[in-house]
Amino acid sequence: MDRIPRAEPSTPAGGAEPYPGTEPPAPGGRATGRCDPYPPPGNLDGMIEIEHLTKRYGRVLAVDGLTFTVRPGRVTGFLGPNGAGKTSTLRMLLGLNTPTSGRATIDGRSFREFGTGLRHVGALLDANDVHDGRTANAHLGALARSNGLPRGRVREVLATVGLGDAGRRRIGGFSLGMRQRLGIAAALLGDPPVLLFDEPVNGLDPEGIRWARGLFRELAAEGRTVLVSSHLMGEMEHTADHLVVIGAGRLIADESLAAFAARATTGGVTVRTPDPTALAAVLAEAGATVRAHGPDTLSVTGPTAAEVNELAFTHRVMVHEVTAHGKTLEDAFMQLTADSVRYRAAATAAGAEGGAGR
Amino acid sequence: MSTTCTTADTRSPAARPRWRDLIAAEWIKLTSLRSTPIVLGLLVPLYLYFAHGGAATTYADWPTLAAELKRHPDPAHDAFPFPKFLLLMATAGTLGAMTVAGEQASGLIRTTFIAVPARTRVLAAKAAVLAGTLAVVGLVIGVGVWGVTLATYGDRIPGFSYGTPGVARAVAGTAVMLAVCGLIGMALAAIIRNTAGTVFAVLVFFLAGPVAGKGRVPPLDADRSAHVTNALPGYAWGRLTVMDPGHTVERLPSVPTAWITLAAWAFAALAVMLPLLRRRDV
Repeated sequence: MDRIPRAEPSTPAGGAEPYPGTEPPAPGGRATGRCDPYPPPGNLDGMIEIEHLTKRYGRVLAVDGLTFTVRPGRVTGFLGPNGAGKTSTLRMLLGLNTPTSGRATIDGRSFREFGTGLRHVGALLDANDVHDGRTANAHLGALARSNGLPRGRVREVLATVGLGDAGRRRIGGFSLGMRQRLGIAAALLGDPPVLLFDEPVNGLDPEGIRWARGLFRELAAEGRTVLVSSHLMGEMEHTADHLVVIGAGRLIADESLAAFAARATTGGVTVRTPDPTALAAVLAEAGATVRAHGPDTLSVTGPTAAEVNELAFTHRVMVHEVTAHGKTLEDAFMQLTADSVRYRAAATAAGAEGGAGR
Repeated sequence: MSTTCTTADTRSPAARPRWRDLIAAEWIKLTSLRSTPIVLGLLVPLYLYFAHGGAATTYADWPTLAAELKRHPDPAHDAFPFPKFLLLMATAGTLGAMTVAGEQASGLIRTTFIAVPARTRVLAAKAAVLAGTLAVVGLVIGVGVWGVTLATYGDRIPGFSYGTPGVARAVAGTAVMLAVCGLIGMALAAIIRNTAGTVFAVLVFFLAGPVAGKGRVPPLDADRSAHVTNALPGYAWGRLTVMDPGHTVERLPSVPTAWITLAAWAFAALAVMLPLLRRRDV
């Protein structure tokens, strides 16, 4: 487990350490003997495997030979720009869409082979996938009943997500944030070992975002598999242990948050100078990559700000300003996905995600 | 997390969901929409009222009625006025269509299939709940309209009771007919996938179809044209309510043919809907 030590936001007592798939869970974790509604661990370790998954919608190749694995006991961030194929991948994983080729399995089974979905996988794909005319109680009650879960679970999960008072209200009157909470409640109904959340914090208020992060970390700490998709890197920075980054339907990165952060160390330097041509020549000679940014500004990668200053001084080129940029995860993400974004904008402007099989 | 004990379930992950759970879930879904009890609750008194209107007219006209007509009285004509029942069929069809179209349009169908990946079972349970509910409504309407008709006739038009041959058939036929209309609506929604388009198709099928069929369908001769219209669920049901075809000049199918026609529509609706939704990307 390449978990990164971090301050756990508001985790109540009892959050167990993450454990590798088949080991017995720590006390206080998910499987506490008499309560466990699942077959014993080992039977179910919550591993998600995506193998050469491909989905084509007409002329749009939404997912293109994607292969990765999601392991239990940690939060895996599933990142990519809009239309990268995140939702398509999740839909295929959940048996809603049929892959053009390849496989997506949970514990070695395709999702359609599970009898009762909620007990194995909890998923929030789209908070609006509800009927506005029903109350939250009726919506969750029908879902719980279809899986043979007791009616009391509805009250429990509504309380967990902070909608304890809204059970009798019709969903049509819910805000997006409340719908997200309702969707999370539905995902938690069956107390499943695998949880999938597609853009879960859209529409949540800052308190809600913090709460959701804490919940995801807590669920992972209980030994569950947690996959959270987002198109915002900053979101994942505070939530994920591991990142799967895709762009234009292809895998771009599959590594720990730490490894991903390491990509972001090559910071850039911005220089303002009245003589950009001379300075660019000097810097290029020293091995730096230089790009012009307006009439008097250069963007430099390679040397540090101090080195740029020294070079300018020794070659007697006037500089007005030298600014170093500490690189963020966001930058690394943007840099990594830049090609796929550009490719998408040029070739598949309509967007694979929005047009996907509604 | 505040997860507490849930029911122990040590069945294998692939164990099929239980029918009673799925049926109970679909029952919650059907009854938790306000429109369902309102529509169904309005239908019953409305058709009792229609029956009363028809029977009261016959009651008033009876003393002056020609002897020839008195020889073949058909109280089912008052209890089950065909044009008004076309509207009932369209309503049942719309209700059925909305159970599928409502899920497809809202996206709830994805939430449903994530909860229960066995799609065919979910849809079979949905069809069973809808058909069962509509059949009960049909039963209530059928028994009710007879009661109103017989009560309105009173002593003036004697010789009819719940035991009269054909009365029970009309009641059972109405129950089956409403269920079949609901299933046809579901199938149309599964085919069309668009709510407005589905409702339009339901209205065309249940209202315009039978009315148009009464004229000549151009390329067909009168006999073939009659076969086509008699194969529509509305006319099949209509045949089941005819007690005494003595003075009927139209081409009538036999009673067994009418039953078989309704059964065939139910089967066809399921045969279209189940495979369509089983394979489709939702």
